[in-house]
This record gives sequence, structure tokens and C-alpha cells, in this order.
Amino acid sequence: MLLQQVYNGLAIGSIYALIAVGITLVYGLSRIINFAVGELVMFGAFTTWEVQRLTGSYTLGFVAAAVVMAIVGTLTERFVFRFTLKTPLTGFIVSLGLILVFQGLAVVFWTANTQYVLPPVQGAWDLGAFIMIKQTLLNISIAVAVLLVCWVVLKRTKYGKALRAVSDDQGAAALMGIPVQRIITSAFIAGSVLCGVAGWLVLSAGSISPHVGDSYLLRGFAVALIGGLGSVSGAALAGIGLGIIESLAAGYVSSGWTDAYVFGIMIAILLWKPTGLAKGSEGAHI
Amino acid sequence: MKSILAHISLAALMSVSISSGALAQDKTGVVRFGLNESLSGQFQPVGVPPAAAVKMAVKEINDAGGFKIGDTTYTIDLVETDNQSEPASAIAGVTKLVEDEGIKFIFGPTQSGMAIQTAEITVPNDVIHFSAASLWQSRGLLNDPEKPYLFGTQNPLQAITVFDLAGIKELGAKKVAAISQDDETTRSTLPSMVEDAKAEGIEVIPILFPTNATDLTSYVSRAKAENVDMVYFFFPQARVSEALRATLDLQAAPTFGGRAINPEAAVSEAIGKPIPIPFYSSFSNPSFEFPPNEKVKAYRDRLLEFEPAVAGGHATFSFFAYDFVPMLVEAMKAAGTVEDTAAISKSLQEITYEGVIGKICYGGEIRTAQSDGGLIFVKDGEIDSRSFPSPCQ
Repeated sequence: MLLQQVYNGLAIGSIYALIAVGITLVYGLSRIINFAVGELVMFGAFTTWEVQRLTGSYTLGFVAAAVVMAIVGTLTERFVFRFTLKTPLTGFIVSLGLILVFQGLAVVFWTANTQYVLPPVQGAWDLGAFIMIKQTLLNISIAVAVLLVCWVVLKRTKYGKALRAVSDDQGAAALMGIPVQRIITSAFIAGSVLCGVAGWLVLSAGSISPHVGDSYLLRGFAVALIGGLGSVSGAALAGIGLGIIESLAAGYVSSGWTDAYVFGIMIAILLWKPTGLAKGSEGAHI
Repeated sequence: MKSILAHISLAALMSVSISSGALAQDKTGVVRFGLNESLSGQFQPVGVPPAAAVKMAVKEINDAGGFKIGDTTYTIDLVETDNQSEPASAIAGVTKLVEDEGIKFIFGPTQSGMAIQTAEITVPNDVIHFSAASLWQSRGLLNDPEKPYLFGTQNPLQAITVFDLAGIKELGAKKVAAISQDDETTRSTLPSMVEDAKAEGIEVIPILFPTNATDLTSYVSRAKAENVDMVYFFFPQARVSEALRATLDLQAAPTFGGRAINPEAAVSEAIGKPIPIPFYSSFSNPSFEFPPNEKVKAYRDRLLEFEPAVAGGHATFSFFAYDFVPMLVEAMKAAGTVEDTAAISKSLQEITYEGVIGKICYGGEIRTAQSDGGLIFVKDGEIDSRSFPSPCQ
């Protein structure tokens, strides 16, 4: 069972990693903790569900989730969070209100019913030591690919350099001719798109409802904090790690302790290293 | 002249007599019922079907001209409140029904947590209160002499366990992993199933997942590690397709079982093709999707036409409400009153009502309705069903 649970945990953790990177990108650029990320995942999942239901295509659903969440990210940054950039705490509080707004909209659009569709890939390979569910492998691959793209963009592109510059010192970045506001907006968009992709993975892995975001919000934050708020690589690794721990806890201990293990580890790590495992709180970096 | 006056007087006297008699025959009244259900919010799938069933039942009675007690024909005025899936709203709604509107007969909430809390308002006010809440059973509210006006509308939990064990035995399972959400519904119901199964030589291993579990694969993997003959998924029914798919992908067990599952939907959603392993589902009421008789089928068709949204929720929950509206009316008729809740309560416990879900009565050890139950099997691609008639005479 050990290998099976580790494999299961990789799939769970890859979703957490995407969400955590989304949180950390936004925080790194704006110092705003966006608590509505769970609802962005939910919206991404429902967008995929709607498109898949209408067209039968998960690929179109993926594209739609990314596009729709990019629009949502743009709108929330432009009309909500931009006004709170100078007071990030206000941005955090506002994001709490956004949770209810998004959940309410989801119920209006899609009702409160739980939805489930066939995953794009079915079946599994029996490897003897464990069973490799094909959809799980696809999900892990997509998450790894997306995280790699994030890493390459941050590390190897001018845009990534600009992003890091803005996170380090907005004033200096502006003096260097970097369009600070546009970079911040792009971080919100990127964070939302990552949540949209996570939503696609969530739907392909299981069922969704307008309240599914609640489950991913706390875990996403735990991962971002463990990895180091502001550290993209830390968030990615912490996500995978937490997913495996959660899966092992599900496999070997009572369900009542699963959350306790997950958040207990978060508390222990933060007490030991308050900025997280990687050096966080200093802006987006690798 | 005198005879003309006499004729006119006689005619006047006769017309007064006739009109008095007509007025006496035309006495009408209104009896008010209250409804509190989750018509919005996260429990909307649970609340919409029983709410629609109550509304349809009331409409059918009123459209038929109401019901008569003595020389008065009564119609029903249904006052509806939406608890928005929030306990505070449920309490506020029922308080409004009981204290502001003075209503003495309430249906819902179906959701257990809210049903427990709203009973705190109805009990002191001697309100006859109907709900399918399993917590009413497991917490002893339905055999508490201090709470004589609470009436459960779901088969006794022990009876449902009997149906489940029949299904498990039919598929030949001796060791069962019972996967369920770790909440009050599970904790109030599963332990008795574990005990009853043990008495029959069947080992049931509970594997509970947190309410915020994002993935069931790890829990199904755990079931597989126990080398079970069956994965039994208990609650919530909305996640059964996930559990079924994981069971098949992981080859976790040779059979699958559950409660109140529509096998066609579960299978089509889970894998989109005929299920390769034997499957059963128990039902506390007749299956909504596989009606065992024409009466249930006709009811289903009427309800879906009345409220199409029922199809998107837990449609089978409508059975927890529909028959209890006319049954309450019959109890009122037998008691000869629409106001004396003590007499109506006594009458409810004495009558047997022939409803859509079979013969219904409150003659058991606890004050919950006994009615027909059932099993659905899927073996080798064929769907088969079995009924368990109620013990009511």
C-alpha cells in the first residue's frame, strides 16, 4: 500500500502545488493574501465541466478554464484588488468577501448540486507493486509541465526578471522603466490561470460542487506557508510533500487525524522556520 | 289575500330553511401547514425533492376539493420557508412558522443537523413535526416521551441495515470496507450496521474520510489493503461515482455496494460502460429511478413534471415527504379535528396509510414510519430489484 499511497499523494499534491504557486505569485508581487483562490479553483472546475458537457472535449475545457480564469483574474485585480495594493490587509479582507460572491454566482449558474463527469483518460496499469491510474499520471504530468513553465518563465525570461524586480523593489523597478502595474496585473492573471488549471485537475479526479473550493483553500495556504510565502519552488515542493503526507495519513491512520497531521506539520515547520522551508516573504523567486 | 300571504310566508320560510341548510353544508376552513427546507445553499439537493413533494401533495389535496371533517371542508395553506442550508436560518424560519404564523404542522428540514435544532422550537409548542432526519432516531428523540409530536419519515435505521445485509449476503461478501464521510450521519448509523453484520458473520471495516477530503483514492486504496470482498460506500451519495471508479481502477474489491444509489447514473458517470463487477444498492424507500410498480412510476412522472429540479438532486428523498401530507390529513379525519395536536398525534400512531411507498404506519418501537424498502442489483449487466414490504397491517 505504501507505494500506492505515495502515487496517490503525488496527484493530490500536484493540485496543491499549483494553487500554492498561484497564491505565492500574487503575494510576492502585491503582498496581498488572496483567500478566494479556492473559489477560483472551483470556477475553473465548473468552467471545464460546462465546456466538457457542451462539447464533449476536455481539451477545450482546459483552454476555456485558462481563458475564463485569466479574465476573472484581470477583473478582480482591476476592479477589486488594485484599490487595496497600498493596504494589503484590506485586500485580504476583501478576498474573504469574494469567496461568498463566487460561491453565490456558482450556485446561480450551476445550482448547488454535486457534478461529476467521466475523466478524459480511463483505466489503469497494474505494475504489481501498485496500480498506476492513467488519469492520475496525466494530472501529475500536466501539473509538472505547468510548474516547469512557471520556473522557466521566472528564471529565463525578461518578463520573469521584471517580475522578480518588481517583487524586490517596486520603486527601483519603476525607475528602471518596468511597467510595475502591468506586472502586478499579470501576476494576478497568472495566479488565476494556475487555479483554473488546478480546477481542471480537480474535475478530472473527482466530483465538484460550489463548495469544493473550501477544501482546497486551507491546504493551498498551508502549502504556500510551508514552502515559504513568496517562494515558487518552495510552494511546488511543499505541495507535493503535503499531498503525500495526506495520502499516507489517509492510508494508515484514522480519518479524524488526517487534517491534524497536515496542519500539525505546517505549525511545526513554521515554528522552526517562520518564513517557510525556502526563503519566502521576500517576493517571488525560485 | 290571506292565502296569498300564507303562500308567500311559506315560500319565504322555505327559502330561509334551504339557504340555512346550504350554508351549513358550505362551511369551509383552512388548515395551515409549514415547510422548512434547504431550497438554496449546499444542501439544496437534499431539500428540493421533499419540498417539491410536500407542495405537490398539498396541491393535489386542494385541487380535489380539500378534505372534510364533520360539516367543514378544509383546504391547506402551505407556508414555505427556505433555511438556505444554514442552521440559523432554519431556526429563524421554524420560529416564524410556529410563533408568528401559529402553525401546528411542520415538514422538514430533512438535513439532520437542522432537524435536531428546529425540534427545540417545535417540541415546546406541541407542533406535529415531520422529518426524515436519521439523527432524530439515533439520538433517541423518537422514543422520548417528552417529545411525542416528532414523527420520523424514514424507515427505522435497523430496517435499512436489514436491507443492506441482505444485499451483502446476496453478493457473497464476508468482509466489507464501509467507506463514508466522517460526520454525524455516518457516526449515528454505521456502528449499528457493523454490529448487526458481525452477528451475521460479516466483518464490516469502517473507513471514514474527512468532510473536506479532496480525493477518495487513498481511502479506497486502504480498503484494498484490507483484502475485502466488497467496497460499500455509505455517504454522501453524491460522491459514489468517485468511489466506484476508484474501486474499479484500483481493483480494490470484487463487488461494490451502497445505499440509495442510482446504479445507472453511478455506472455511467463512473466508467461510462457496463460495470464489470456485481453491484447492489439498498433503498429505504422504493427506488426513484427504478420504480418497482406503476404507482411509484406515476408519482415519479408527476413529481418531475411538477418540479423538474428534483431530478438534479436526491430525488429519492421526495419519498420522505409526499405520503405524509395525506397521511396527516387522514389522521386529522380519524381524530375529528384539525387543531388538537394531541388527538392527531395519537391518531397518526394508530392508522395505516396506503401510500406511494407502500403501507405506512407508526407501529414500531420508535416513532418513525415503517414503509416498503428495496434492493437493486446489477449483475452481468442486468438490473434486478427486490422489495421488502412494510410490516404494517
